[in-house]
Amino acid sequence: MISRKLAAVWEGWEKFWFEAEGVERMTLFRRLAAILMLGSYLVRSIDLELYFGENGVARMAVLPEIMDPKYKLSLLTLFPGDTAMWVFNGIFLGALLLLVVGIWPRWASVLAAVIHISFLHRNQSAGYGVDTIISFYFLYFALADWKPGSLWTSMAYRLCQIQLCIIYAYAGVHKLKGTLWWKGEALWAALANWQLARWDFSWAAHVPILLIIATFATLIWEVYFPVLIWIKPLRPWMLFFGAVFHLGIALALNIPFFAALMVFTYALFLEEDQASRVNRRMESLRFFRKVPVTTADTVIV
Amino acid sequence: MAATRARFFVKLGLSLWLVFHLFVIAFVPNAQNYLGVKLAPLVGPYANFFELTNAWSFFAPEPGPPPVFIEYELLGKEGDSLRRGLWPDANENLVFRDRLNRRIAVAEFMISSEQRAEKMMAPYLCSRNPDAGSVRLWRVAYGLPGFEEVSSQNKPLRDESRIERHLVSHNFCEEKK
Repeated sequence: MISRKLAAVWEGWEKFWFEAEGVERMTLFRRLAAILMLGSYLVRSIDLELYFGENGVARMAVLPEIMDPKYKLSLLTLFPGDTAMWVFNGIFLGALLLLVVGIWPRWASVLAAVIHISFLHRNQSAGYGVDTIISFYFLYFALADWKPGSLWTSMAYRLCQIQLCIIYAYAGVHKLKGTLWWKGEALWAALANWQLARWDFSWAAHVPILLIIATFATLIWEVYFPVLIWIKPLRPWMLFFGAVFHLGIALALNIPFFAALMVFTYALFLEEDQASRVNRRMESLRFFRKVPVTTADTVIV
Repeated sequence: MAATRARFFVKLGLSLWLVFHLFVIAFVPNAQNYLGVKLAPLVGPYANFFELTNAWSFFAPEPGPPPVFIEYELLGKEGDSLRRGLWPDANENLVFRDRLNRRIAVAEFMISSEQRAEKMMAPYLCSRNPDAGSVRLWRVAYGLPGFEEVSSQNKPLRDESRIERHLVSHNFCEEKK
């Protein structure tokens, strides 16, 4: 009896983690995320010396006094100096380009993950939401072998999905601790922050009911996303609300890379054939390498 | 048969790693508790090494710090005031807005501790301004008005009377050899 139940649990676990067909969704997400990050890190390159250089804001000599370096290894501390920094940045951008095109995606992901984490560990203050989120996805991309029917790709695909749920779950639950979120005034506090906001939102103070509704809608949506996204009939609605929400953030708060990355993760929750159609369209540009063809009997360990 | 067996053991090994990894990514964002302290030796090295330490507290528990800056005054070798300024400088001509976003992230990091502000900003400003003999730093945070204050009292969003300003340090610049 117990062994039968255990076998059923194992079967369910195996099916979920190792037999999911998500190569098209993963490929679409990888392409979109890599294009985005290539843009983001090209822009960061302009200020590379400010954040990571020896004459910048985080000199090597003061690092132990301003950050906890425990277990935070970095190629940039192993190979100090501005020349090494530029070399690593060049390799990193090259790896991102390979991820966009689809050449050696696994090894490009390993390279991207190692260098990206190295930059974060060199100066954690220069990273914000988009950097911390993509570091998880680089690691998961490195797990995938990008072949249909492969357990590695299946596992990486599931980890990408679960990671998004964890991000939303914690983002939602942390908000429940905040007074302004409880009072329905959090959205106002974000829009009134003139250092972040794109425009002057003084006019919004005259329609408080809108601010309060939007604050609670955001809170409820974030808290319930990790559960409701797994219910198929509700999925399009959850993704639609999320896309509108992140587009709003991108426009109002001027953080387009963060907002775009969050929306791109939704590719992981499309249907496989939907992702496949988008991939085929992208491949018609001839810039992207084709996703390997699925064969029914391909099971790669 | 051997291949099936090998596949089973690969899956079993991956499953063990998955359980550990899932535990880490689900647990680390809420590790500031008794369990967190007890499990730190097990989870910490792995989470730190792979940078899995984010708390995912976007705009939470409150929607971010208010506008923050490091204010500085550069003094000449004789103690005369050379220049004053704010960092990040909103008037700096940054074509890509993301450049300002990263500067704001750095400012928020520095504002959280006097030591960070001093150790990061003072040597940076000295190296950028060779004529400076010393640099004075302040942490500056602007309070934000509530929507009722704006709608009924016409308060501006950027209200200079709500500034909190704390002196961080006065550092002498190292002489270049």
